[in-house]
Amino acid sequence: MNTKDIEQLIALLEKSSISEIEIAKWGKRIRVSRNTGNVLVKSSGLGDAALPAAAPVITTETSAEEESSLQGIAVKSPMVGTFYRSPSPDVDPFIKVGDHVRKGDTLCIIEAMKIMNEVEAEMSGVILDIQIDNAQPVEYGQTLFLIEP
Amino acid sequence: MNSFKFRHPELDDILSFKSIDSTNLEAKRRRSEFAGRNFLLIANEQTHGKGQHGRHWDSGAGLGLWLSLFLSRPGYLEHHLQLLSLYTGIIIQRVLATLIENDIYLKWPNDIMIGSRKCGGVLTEVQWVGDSAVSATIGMGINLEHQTADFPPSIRKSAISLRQAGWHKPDPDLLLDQLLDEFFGNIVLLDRPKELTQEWNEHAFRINDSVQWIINNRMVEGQFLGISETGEAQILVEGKLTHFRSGEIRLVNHE
Repeated sequence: MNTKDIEQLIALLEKSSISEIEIAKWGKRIRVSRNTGNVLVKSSGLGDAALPAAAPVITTETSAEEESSLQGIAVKSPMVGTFYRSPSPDVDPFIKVGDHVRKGDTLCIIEAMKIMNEVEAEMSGVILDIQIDNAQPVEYGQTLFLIEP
Repeated sequence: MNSFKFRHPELDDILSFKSIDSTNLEAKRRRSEFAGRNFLLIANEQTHGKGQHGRHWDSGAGLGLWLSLFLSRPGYLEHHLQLLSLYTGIIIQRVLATLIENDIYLKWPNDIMIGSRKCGGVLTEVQWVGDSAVSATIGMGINLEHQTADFPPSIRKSAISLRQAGWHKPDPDLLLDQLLDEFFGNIVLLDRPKELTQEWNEHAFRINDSVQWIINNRMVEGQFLGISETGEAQILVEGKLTHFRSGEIRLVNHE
């Protein structure tokens, strides 16, 4: 699912008399709906591409913000898969709470379709919290870590 | 070390190593330097060749084709990357089928089989920053020259080399050349999931057979029905069709 696909969906909706289109593809669900003059795109599931919003489009992730008393910036899962804290079962995790990470450091692996997806830190900072256990299923947009920049 | 004299238009450079821990690891260590470009890394020997979840992949000196493709050129990461591992398996299957007479199969998820023995594997790792894939590292290992004694005793009955399969003088340059041409020449197949998964299923190892699977540390019996259009393994467990996209799924009784 790329931007072009979404643009086509929006065009389709705008031409039609219906108010909502929802399709599931690549483990990702996209819903485009008419809403008081705006077109709203909702996406969830396996993130196979970034979804830059075109001008009239509001892009919304379906996952709610995690409730947390901790400050910090959330690192979210780019896809549906299985979360792994270490590159193999018998070695140390990539990171622990309290670790300093640098931009570009690998934080975890999300395995999906037998592809090991390595999530890298977007910024340097300290790991405040790890919000998911090893080898657990993870949803698109789910918070994995909190980082204090 | 073989000298790979050729160039490929889709590759910015080819780096060859006499010995390295793992070509995937080296590619990932140098990912900032490689950003935005496509590289091939190839090694005569890997001292810590990797399978999935860090499993050891035996990759002795001069015995096989041990390489990684690092893809980061603009455009490459816009394809449907979920099927990249399955796609790479198909490419290896196609090429090997032109070089040796035996049947070549694809075993879920990432193994290349000659008959019922493993001759190669694929390990695909994609690097993400936020919601965007920034590079993909595809490791491939193909056994070329091994005789029985070259394999560790534990895998002698389950592994095979192309030489043992009847290619008397395996030519790594020829094999690499064909792999790269097929890989880069057919990359749009990634965006044609129906065609891609259909081809995978045509060569699937033990499709429709009753098999045992390890799913999240639990052993289940089921019938393997191939992969769905989204690349999920489809297993009929006690009459119920179940799709698996992640977790530990392993076909175990392959003898």
